[in-house]
Amino acid sequence: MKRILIYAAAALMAAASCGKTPVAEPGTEPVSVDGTAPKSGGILTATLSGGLAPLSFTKTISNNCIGYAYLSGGEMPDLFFQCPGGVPSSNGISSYLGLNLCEFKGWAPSGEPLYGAPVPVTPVPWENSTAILRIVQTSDRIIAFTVSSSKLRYAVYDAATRSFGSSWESASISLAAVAGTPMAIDIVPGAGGSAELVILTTDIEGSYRPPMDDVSESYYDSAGIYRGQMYYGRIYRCNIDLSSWKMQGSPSLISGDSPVVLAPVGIGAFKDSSSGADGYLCVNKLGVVKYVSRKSATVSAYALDSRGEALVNPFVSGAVLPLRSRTGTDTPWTVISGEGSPRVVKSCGRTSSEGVPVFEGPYEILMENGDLYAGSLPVPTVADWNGDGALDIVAGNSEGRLLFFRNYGTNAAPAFGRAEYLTSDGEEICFRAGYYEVQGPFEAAWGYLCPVVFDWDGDGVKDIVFSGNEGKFEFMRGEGTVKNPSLGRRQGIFLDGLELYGMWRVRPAVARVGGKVLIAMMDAQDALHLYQQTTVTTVKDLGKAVLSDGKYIYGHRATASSTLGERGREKLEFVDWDGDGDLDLLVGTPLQASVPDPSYGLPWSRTTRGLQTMWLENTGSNDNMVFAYPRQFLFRGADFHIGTHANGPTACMLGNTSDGRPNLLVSGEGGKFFFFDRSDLTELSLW
Amino acid sequence: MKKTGLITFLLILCAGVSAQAPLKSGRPLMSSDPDGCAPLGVLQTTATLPCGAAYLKASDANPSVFLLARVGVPSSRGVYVATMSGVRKAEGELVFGQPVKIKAFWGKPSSMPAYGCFFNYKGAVLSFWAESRESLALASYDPDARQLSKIASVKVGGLDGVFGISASELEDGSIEIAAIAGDGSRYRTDRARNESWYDGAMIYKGDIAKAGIRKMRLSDPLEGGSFTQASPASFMTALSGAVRLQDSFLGADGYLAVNRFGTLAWQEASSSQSARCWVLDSSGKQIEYHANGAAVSLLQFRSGEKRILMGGEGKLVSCRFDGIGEKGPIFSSPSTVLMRGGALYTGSLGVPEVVDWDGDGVQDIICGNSEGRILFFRNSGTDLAPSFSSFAEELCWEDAPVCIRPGYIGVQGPFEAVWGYMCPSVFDWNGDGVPDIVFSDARGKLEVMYARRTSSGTILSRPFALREDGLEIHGLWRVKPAVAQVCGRVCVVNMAGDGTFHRWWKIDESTLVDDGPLLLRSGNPFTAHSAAVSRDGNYGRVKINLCDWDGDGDLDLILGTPMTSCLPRPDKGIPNGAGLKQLMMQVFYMENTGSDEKPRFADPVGFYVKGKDLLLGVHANGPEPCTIGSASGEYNLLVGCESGRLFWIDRKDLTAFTIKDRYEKK
Repeated sequence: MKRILIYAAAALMAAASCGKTPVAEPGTEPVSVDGTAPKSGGILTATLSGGLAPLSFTKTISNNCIGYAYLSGGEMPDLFFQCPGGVPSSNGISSYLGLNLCEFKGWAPSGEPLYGAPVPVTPVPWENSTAILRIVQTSDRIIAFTVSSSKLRYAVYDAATRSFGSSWESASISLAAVAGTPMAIDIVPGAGGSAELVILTTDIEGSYRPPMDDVSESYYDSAGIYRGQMYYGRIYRCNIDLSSWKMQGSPSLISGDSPVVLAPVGIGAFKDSSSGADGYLCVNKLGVVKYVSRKSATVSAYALDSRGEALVNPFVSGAVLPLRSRTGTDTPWTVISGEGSPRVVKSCGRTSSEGVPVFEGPYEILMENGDLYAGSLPVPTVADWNGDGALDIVAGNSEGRLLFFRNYGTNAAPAFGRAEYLTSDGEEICFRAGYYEVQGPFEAAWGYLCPVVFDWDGDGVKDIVFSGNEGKFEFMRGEGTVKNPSLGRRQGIFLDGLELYGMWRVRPAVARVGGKVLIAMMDAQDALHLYQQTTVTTVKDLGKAVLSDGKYIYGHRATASSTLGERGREKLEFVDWDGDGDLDLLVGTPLQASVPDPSYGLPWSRTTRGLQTMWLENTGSNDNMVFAYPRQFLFRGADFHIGTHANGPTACMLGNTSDGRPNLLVSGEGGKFFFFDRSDLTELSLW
Repeated sequence: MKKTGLITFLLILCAGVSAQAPLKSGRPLMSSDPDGCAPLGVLQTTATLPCGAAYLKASDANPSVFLLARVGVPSSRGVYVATMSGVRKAEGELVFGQPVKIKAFWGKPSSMPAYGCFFNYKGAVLSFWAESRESLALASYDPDARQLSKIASVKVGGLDGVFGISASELEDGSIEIAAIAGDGSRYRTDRARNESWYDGAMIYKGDIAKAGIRKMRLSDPLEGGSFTQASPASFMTALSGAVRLQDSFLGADGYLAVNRFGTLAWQEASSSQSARCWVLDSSGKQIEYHANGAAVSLLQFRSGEKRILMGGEGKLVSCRFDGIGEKGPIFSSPSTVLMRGGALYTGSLGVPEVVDWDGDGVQDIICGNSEGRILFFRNSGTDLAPSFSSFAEELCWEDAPVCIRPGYIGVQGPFEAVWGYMCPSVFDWNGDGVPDIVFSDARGKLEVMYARRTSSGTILSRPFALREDGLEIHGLWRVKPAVAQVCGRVCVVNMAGDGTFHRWWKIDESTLVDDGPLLLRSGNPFTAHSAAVSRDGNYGRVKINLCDWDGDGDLDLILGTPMTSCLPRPDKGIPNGAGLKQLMMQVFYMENTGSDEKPRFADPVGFYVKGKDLLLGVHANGPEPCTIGSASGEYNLLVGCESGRLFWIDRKDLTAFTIKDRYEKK
């Protein structure tokens, strides 16, 4: 295999400083590259630029950078990541669920920090996977800290075994004086074995969720206002002795009554001697970074980007970690991480006139020999997006963005480039519901874009038909040329003048059949529903789709354990999977789905967890679709579990398709694309 | 296919009708166009609904139209008739005289039947009205006395579920009544107080109700008959009007239906089965009514030309029937129906701003409306003696007119999907010297559209949300935010979700920071909702203005509210204080007794106009302090209201009343 090193152009920094994701400068891409035949049961890998890809994990959703240490001797520290949400390793693929260490390898030619692949670290057994954790390097040790039951506990790292031991040590440090719920801590080593303990808490006790008499209730009242609590951060601090493990004074509230930030999730001590900035960076779930000065901690202000605007991380965030330089106490780089590939921002060495620090970035952290990574919960379509004859991948993700992975290779041996972020009407796509959201306003940074590539208007240029967390079905017209597509503004699809509306996070299935354009989605009852396009913005109702026994095809299970946010989430696709000439249906679901019957269906009614991807054979015709009961895919006769929240399957002509029939690509919640040769797939049915 | 020149017999209006002076205190701004034309409508009603057309006398050259005004100021409610006088020379719009209220047999407006229609029968003008589940009231209209008198109760079958009727004279001379009737689905559902209309999956809890068309052929109106199905019972979602259109010359026979979202559909008369298609113009573009809640009537000219007349919560429009194309019926694009001597019309629930929008040195009017659009009324006069055309321009994005609507998810349910309730504030947000639009609307978001002047006019950018801590700033719906420069900083005042008024400071183009609630002199926050009402759509709706009303150097508040509001406390205030007579002009002044940096507001006072209450509507008033018509530079008031009119009030005609005054007066 020939690999050609292609690096992003110098435009990277400029692009990044504008808060956009860096992309390769046009004209620097290779014309073609020898790719690799995808491995069945494996993950699609990055091929270009020596396999440079965003630092990512495999089957975990959130990847929070919670500590660092100068272990490998590099200019930048090695990073510890806490990956709390996801599924365990299986089928020979490491999940990285748990605690991982990434070693600094140097700098990418385009300027980003380059790290090695994650290496699992044995943590102290956690009380739960989302435990508050901070790992700090002192002059002689690397120590993990956690807060539990109002106490600070610690464990010391053994580099030889990559382990923090088997149990936590209790320090004589009580946090009983800290009100609210601790969300994050930072430990700032000082002189003489002392350290500063900083605690970010909420200003409420208990849950911010509204009272729910039953799980079907809305989080909002009749005026459209959230019924739960808007919660804000507060900062406590005290000094501790790292030798005696005792407190030096009681924790005191330094932020006063002023809220630091809405929905706080992370805190880290920041210092820049050249500008005089010395304080704390706090990040919230929505990606906003605020700065609190040590001198006047009762005032929080937005950390600024190089344009002078509020610094915002592009995805749902979980942690902020300023990195002290190897030799000093300044923190020139800061890692912001969460549900996406971690980013770094670099201190500009100056502050605004109000004394607020200014940062460059955020920039991606890269790794070598990485996988294609699309952000969490990607929803792919394999299509020749740029008209060059090779099948590309176009995928939405939980951030609400639309990514284009260009195939520089062939269909049999693809070579995918770094993700390009597609635009709509000239603006980078980032579709999010905002305040009014199925699961409440604190999920405002999740967009769950579920696109399908399809020539909706029949003009020969591919369009995007999509839905997301707003539950409405829309399209963006392809306004460029076949070889140079660009997307217009989002437009609604209407039925009798009302938006076509259904369950959230559903990718519609769309197909042109005999001059008719069909669109299938999950309707208000979470049942599969068919519509036919009548004009480019209108459809007519063809009714609920039916099984061969006339029953409807539902997606949810009867006993929801939480709110109705569990409904929907299906990723639908029309494809002639069995090659019999009519369109079947591929359905990707969350684990708790129960297709087609809420009381008995796949995958929920099975006791084992497998691929959440089903095939519903069309036993009728394209004009009169009737579906067989669903069959769940097995890989080489066994379950293949890649995630819980949702699978995004798409039939594709990548790899070996010598029989003219498609293989299967399935995205997992961890942001990766799993390839399955159809010869390795068998099916399981409950009926 | 087209029948051109079929209405050449109509009078051609000539320019030269004297333009009316636009400023009369306590009266709406009038059109200053040379021919004095303005959109046809009833002065103080929210929606003008056509309910039939008829030749009043055998000698009439043109049909007259009957208009239903069901919602609005009580004195305006009723049935009106307007006589067509010709077509406008320049553009060809139909022009009518002023609508005149008729005397109806049901007496007071509150007794008006749920639906009715007018038609000609053997030279007479007859009318059917809802009466019972088994009968319709047949009435005769006397054009000389302007009196509608009941003739008989006519027994009619198939009235169950009927909620609207129309009448057409068919080519064989018979009359057909077309009715719209529900399919049994139930739009509203039971729910607890303050509970959302949507469930936890954001799905509407009620039915997306559909309705169908029924028909009844009458050989003699007195004989009655029975309705039979003319379309599938579930023909269309939110169906709001239907009329039979028969034209053998152009090969058409079917029903033209419209729903409350403005969507038009066609159903062939030859089949009661599903055979629906859309209604297109000659370019193949789908024709829609531009506002909420459309009703439709048929205008049949003596020449044979047929037009549909559509009205609702927006301008009345007409479309000429041009024949049947491959995909269905073809009509001319909607054209505004006019009247002579009319007032400016903003669309219902106008929210005006007075500002020099086009940079010519004279103050214009920018006005949001319930359709979700923003209109620009150019002032071709001066600030002291303005001259506004009634033909407003719609503000546009690069590729389409601005139209912001909530869609499926709305505070009051999905059937309000096309009520946008645009509430714009004009302010140079990015400091480039061109005023921008800061707005809220039916969605309760706070957003900005940047304006860019081009050779062809001002173009607005797509909106972007203002945020705090990364979360969209979300408040109560239908609130006009106030934006001002205060102490060297830009502030926005809006209503937060708890009903209080908050001030935010601008940090950057899309980021604000909350400065907390505005306070009364007592130090307490204030609200605008009444304890007597549930949250629902009753909260919010306040139009906020910051201006130095009293000239003391700091910014006061001028607020417009709906009738259900209760300022400044839910239990005691105006206009909806317990036991108060609520019918007043819902515009209030709250004096800033503090400073701009630390404002403290006095309790609100209301205004009499020329010593009396001036009732402009119920749903909400949109006041705008402005120096139009002011020689002294002091603020006068311009008030947008639910009827779509802009009332100008000279400051010297305003006198204040306090909450205490109002309670003592009760």
